[in-house]
Amino acid sequence: MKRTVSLGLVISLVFSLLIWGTNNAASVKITFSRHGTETDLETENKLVKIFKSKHPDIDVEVLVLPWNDYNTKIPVMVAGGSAPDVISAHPALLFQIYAAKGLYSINSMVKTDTTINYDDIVFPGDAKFSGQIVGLPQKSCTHILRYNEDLFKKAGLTTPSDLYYKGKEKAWNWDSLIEAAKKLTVDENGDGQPEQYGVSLDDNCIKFSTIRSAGGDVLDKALTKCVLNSPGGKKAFQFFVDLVRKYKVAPPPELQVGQLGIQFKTGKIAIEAATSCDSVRDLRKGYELPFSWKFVVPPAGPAGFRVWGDTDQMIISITSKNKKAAYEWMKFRSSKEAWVELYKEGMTLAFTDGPTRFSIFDIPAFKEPLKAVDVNMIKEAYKYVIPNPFLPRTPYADRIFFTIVPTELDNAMRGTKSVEQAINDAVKLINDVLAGKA
Amino acid sequence: MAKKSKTYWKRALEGYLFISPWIVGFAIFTAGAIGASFVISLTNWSMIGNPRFIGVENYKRIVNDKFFWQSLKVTSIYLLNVPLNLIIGLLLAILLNQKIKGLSIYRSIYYLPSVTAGVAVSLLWLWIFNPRFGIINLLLSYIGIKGPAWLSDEHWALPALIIMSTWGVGGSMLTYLGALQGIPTQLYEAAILDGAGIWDRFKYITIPMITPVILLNLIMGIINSFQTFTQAFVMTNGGPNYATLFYVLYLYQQAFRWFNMGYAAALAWILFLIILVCTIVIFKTSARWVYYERS
Repeated sequence: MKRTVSLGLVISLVFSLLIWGTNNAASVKITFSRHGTETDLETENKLVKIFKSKHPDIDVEVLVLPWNDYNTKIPVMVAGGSAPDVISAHPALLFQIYAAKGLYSINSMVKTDTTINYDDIVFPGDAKFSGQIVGLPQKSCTHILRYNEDLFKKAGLTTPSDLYYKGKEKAWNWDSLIEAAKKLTVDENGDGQPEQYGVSLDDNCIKFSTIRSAGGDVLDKALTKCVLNSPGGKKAFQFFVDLVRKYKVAPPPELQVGQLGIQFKTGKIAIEAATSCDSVRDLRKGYELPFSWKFVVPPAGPAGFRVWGDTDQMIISITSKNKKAAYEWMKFRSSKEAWVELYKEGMTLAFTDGPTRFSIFDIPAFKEPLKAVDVNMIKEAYKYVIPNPFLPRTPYADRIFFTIVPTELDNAMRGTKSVEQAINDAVKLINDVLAGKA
Repeated sequence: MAKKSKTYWKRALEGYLFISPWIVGFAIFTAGAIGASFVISLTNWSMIGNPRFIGVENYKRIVNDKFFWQSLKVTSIYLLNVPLNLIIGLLLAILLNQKIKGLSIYRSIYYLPSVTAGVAVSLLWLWIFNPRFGIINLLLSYIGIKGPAWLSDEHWALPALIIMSTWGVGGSMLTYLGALQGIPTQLYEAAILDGAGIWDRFKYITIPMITPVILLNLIMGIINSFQTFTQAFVMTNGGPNYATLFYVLYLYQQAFRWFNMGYAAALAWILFLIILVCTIVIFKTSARWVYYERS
């Protein structure tokens, strides 16, 4: 009897070891990184669980880091050869990793993959370098406007959405924005200082898209020279300055109105710069604003509508040892299916990630959570992301578009420099940066 | 040369053993990084990919970089906070060295701000400097003065940060207080007998006796001023119009926003040299004005 039991135990042990060994040999573990918050980690873990049910042989470990940490840690990991298998990269980080030859081109994988409809992918230009596809989008976003519908109704004004749908650029343009903003700027206590402003365009991306909507640009096509001093650039600068100094419908930068409680969220700013991927968080249950609000594309300038839009692209690290598994994960993470299945599980990507596919605009997982705002207007904005990629690919992009141009525009809006002087100074500084002198 | 005794070596060994944790830590975690940063300063490196050796090119570029000079100018002007804080710290210490009721409470109140987290202090002062309803402009309005836009005005942003620096005077105040209490009372008694007034006692006894602490606060103040970062990062981000572009903020931008790690390392080495020269000059000249009881 003892011998039989011992034999049985030995056989079961050997059998278990064999099974474990077989499973372990087939299982592949990959790492995925993105910037975000603890909520995003929860979302990703849920997505990993869904993915795992379809790909039991692939384990995905998620690394979510806050924005600043992400932008320092990932480059260091890439430099050290220990980068995650799949990295979600915003345009600047993507360019940086590409320039350093830190990513693996997925061009052939995508081209031979019959399950991907590449025409459905938003902002495909973001993922292409020298015609080669290097990534799939994790999320997309546009920098647009949102307005307080209640304030418009109270003032008896046609809403920007109605203007846009009725007459496109003929009805919703710089002039109509100024006219509406004039009526929505209110000095409640008569002290000469408005307590409610018509508009606030305090967003560097909107500043850049406005320059383009005026027919101007910051850099030439070769990205070697600053062309901000073109008529379009001057018109855009003048438009921003006029909002503050001439029409006094936008808060001057020196007032720091946010601290005064003059914010969109407090109902004291009628139209503000917003993003289609982040501002929607105000639609979450328990976080709703105490008034009705809607999105609208930024008004058309002399050259028409222009919108800053971009994607965070998922790329495969050149050092990844499991590129096929990495591709499977990013394909799922980027898919419409991920949106649908996560929504079924009671979580929604619509509050954190903009659509990765045009077809996502039409599914309940996107439409239902955002039904309080005009979902179609978000889709409209994607049309005006011209060119794509919208952000010029230069290693100096952050410095030029997020430091020098906003600083000089700020100088003009504060009235410490004329538009001409601010533009000339910006051109000189940008050309110095491009020449490697600063 | 006299031969060192066995006891001398034993004592020396004991001393080194006591500081060995620091030496080991420094050798492992700091010395290597310092050396590496110098090597990096001779390269063009964006953190990703291999660094490209470019010799002293980064240092040459710095000389022609107007933002480098602007950040150096801003930081140098900000050094004005050092004498201001030395004076205010000393005056506070003298006040809090009096025998009054509730002294420990006053001392705690004045010391507390200097241990408050930098970001919290910055946020608090953002409100204080608010042009429309900040407390400073409110008080100025009572006497008929329209206050400036402070942090949003390129002429007032840096003075505003200098004013704000007095918030952290508690640290130097505490060291002054310790020094004041260490002055032998018989010196004052003898001076009184000789007919010395308050001012003479302060000038000829108090000041000379606390000069070592003044030296300490001066050097620490200068080093801290050169390393100013949090206020500018949180409150102004270097603006308006680069009026608060502190040296370390610019270094940070080069390193972690624009990923010019080689250039940033070169900036760091120049800062190190500037601080080193300042410290050496102060130490060399201190023999003329610092009084040590043993000397």
